[in-house]
Amino acid sequence: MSEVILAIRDLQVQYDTSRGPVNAVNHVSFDLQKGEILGLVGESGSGKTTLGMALVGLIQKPGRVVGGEIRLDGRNLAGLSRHEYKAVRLSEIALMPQGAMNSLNPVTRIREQILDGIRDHGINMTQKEADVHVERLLERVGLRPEVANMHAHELSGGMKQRVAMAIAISLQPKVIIADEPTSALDVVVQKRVMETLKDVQEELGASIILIGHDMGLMAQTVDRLGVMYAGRLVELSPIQEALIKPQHPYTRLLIESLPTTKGKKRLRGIPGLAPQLLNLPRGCAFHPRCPHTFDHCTQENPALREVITQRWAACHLLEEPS
Amino acid sequence: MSAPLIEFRNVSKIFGGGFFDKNRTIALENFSMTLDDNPPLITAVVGESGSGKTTLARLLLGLETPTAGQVRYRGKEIHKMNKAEHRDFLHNVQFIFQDPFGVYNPFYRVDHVLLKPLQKFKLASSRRQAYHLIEEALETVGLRPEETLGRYPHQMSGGQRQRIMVARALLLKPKLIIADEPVSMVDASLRATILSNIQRLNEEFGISIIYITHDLATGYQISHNMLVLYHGAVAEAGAVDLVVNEPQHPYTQLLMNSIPQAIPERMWHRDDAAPAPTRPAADFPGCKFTDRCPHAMASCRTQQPPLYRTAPHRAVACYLHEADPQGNKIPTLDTTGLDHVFITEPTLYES
Repeated sequence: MSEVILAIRDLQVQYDTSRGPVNAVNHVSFDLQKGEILGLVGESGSGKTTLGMALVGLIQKPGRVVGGEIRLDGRNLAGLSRHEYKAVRLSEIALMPQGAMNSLNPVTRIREQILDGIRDHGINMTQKEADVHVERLLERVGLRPEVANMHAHELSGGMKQRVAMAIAISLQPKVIIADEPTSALDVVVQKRVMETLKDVQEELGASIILIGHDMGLMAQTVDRLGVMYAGRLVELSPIQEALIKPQHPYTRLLIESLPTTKGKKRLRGIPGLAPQLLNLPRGCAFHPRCPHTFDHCTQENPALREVITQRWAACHLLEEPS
Repeated sequence: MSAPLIEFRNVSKIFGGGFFDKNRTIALENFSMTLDDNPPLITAVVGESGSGKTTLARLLLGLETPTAGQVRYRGKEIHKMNKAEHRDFLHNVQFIFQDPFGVYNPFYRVDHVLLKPLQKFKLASSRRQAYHLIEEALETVGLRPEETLGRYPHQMSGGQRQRIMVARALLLKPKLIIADEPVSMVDASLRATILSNIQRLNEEFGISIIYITHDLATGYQISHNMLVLYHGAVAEAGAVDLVVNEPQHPYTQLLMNSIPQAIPERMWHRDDAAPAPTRPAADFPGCKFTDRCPHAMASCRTQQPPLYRTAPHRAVACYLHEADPQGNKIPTLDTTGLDHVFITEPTLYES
């Protein structure tokens, strides 16, 4: 009964640098179901933010999408012109960018910023209709109607994040990409904002791709988890299964490095450093940091395969049943 | 017996003000605490933005003068030290900042930030010896000297830069390190590494640590004692295992319930605490958490609750703990009493 709303196939984003092209997103494929929240985690430089930007057609030069498909409800967005993408963005697929709270315009009222995107899509409203629409949007994200007449500096971080959310849902998109929507917020506010995001998503029946590096936040919020490493998707699993029995060694180390309040243990990070995309190790990009590396890992990059039903991982350890 | 490492005596810090100024912000109110370094321990100071935790750190570093009360290092008030005492203070109290990007001068190689303190305090007799010490410190925090020295800050990742700051703090072999949100701007996978570096400084080099954070989970993992601040006042304090595992103050409970943990059985549930404060907290004399508290009573608003000592190693400022379940009155602590609540044996509550 599940229905795929967004199908990403073999997506590649390349950046041209003075030392040659870099694959920031490297042959990534996955499906997003209708009404699903999918998390994408990874270290800085893993390509998660670039992937999000690619999905809304906002990759800037020197970067570009060099291959693959982004099928939204059957329509491939990857080949759209800038002009065509503009019509799709916000109305069908919307982005809450990283640091959205700092992306608000300091000199215009919140009301105008919410209406800006709507007008840009050629939707004409009377003054009255616009007021009602803004009020309803603010209410939906848990803000008082007075906020419409305020400026960004009068709002707290959590409130600004809610405004960004109101803008993202203003045209009822099918897919919302939320890139670290709570990274600068206190834990209590963070929880509230995430609860609102979930409520809004359920009301709209939208799907969400939540990008971040906080595995704890993912555990609390998402249905499925995708793990990115050096531009590739290395694991994709339902969240509970991923937490209890991660398939890829990188996922396991990420989960183990997370401090909890359940019993004290010595904190251990993942050894080594994130790889440089210009100079990727041969074979599996994770092999220099992996505790289970064997010969094959240094030779060939493992493909993402369905290792157990509904669970995908890219690791040579999981290839031959032993 | 030498004087305690750090003492706060009835310290208040008020920003803004003047008699008729309505925009007074009480960042810290009548705060007292003693930290001894026998043995050196890790103390976590936890709270949200606006709780006063960073003001506490800035007072400790002498970057702010208290509006009332005294902050002492080894018995001497920080603002009344003579030149030699101040120099000793600067040497022995080190700081690790939140932002590993802002502390470097982009024109200098990272060597500079490590050499400078050695020169300033004349800790090395030659350049060779200085580099020897630097290499040792870098290796302690898990960096390879040959891949670190000679590079510029922009060539390093945030995690590497923060580890260099830990190495710099270590070079001076200080008595106390104040770490203000040292990992909040670092990738999750590197947080554990940096925190375990800080933990090693305490265990292997006998350095006391004040770890300032809004994250109870990391605070729990590395510290011995914990202090929870809310709007400039102590909400709860004591041995970290007690505060985190059986929080008694409704605010600590709210914090605990809000941590996103990657454990399937600790899923978030919607709580009934009111969302954001409805008015500036300084408006009324009572407990500042009243407006958000699901258990608020009339008495909460009229007077700030004292610290009730509900266990030998725990105190909580909440009228809910005025009496135990049998109805016996629970003793209160005067402001200096907090000193005896902290555990002084690192192994006492270790599981």
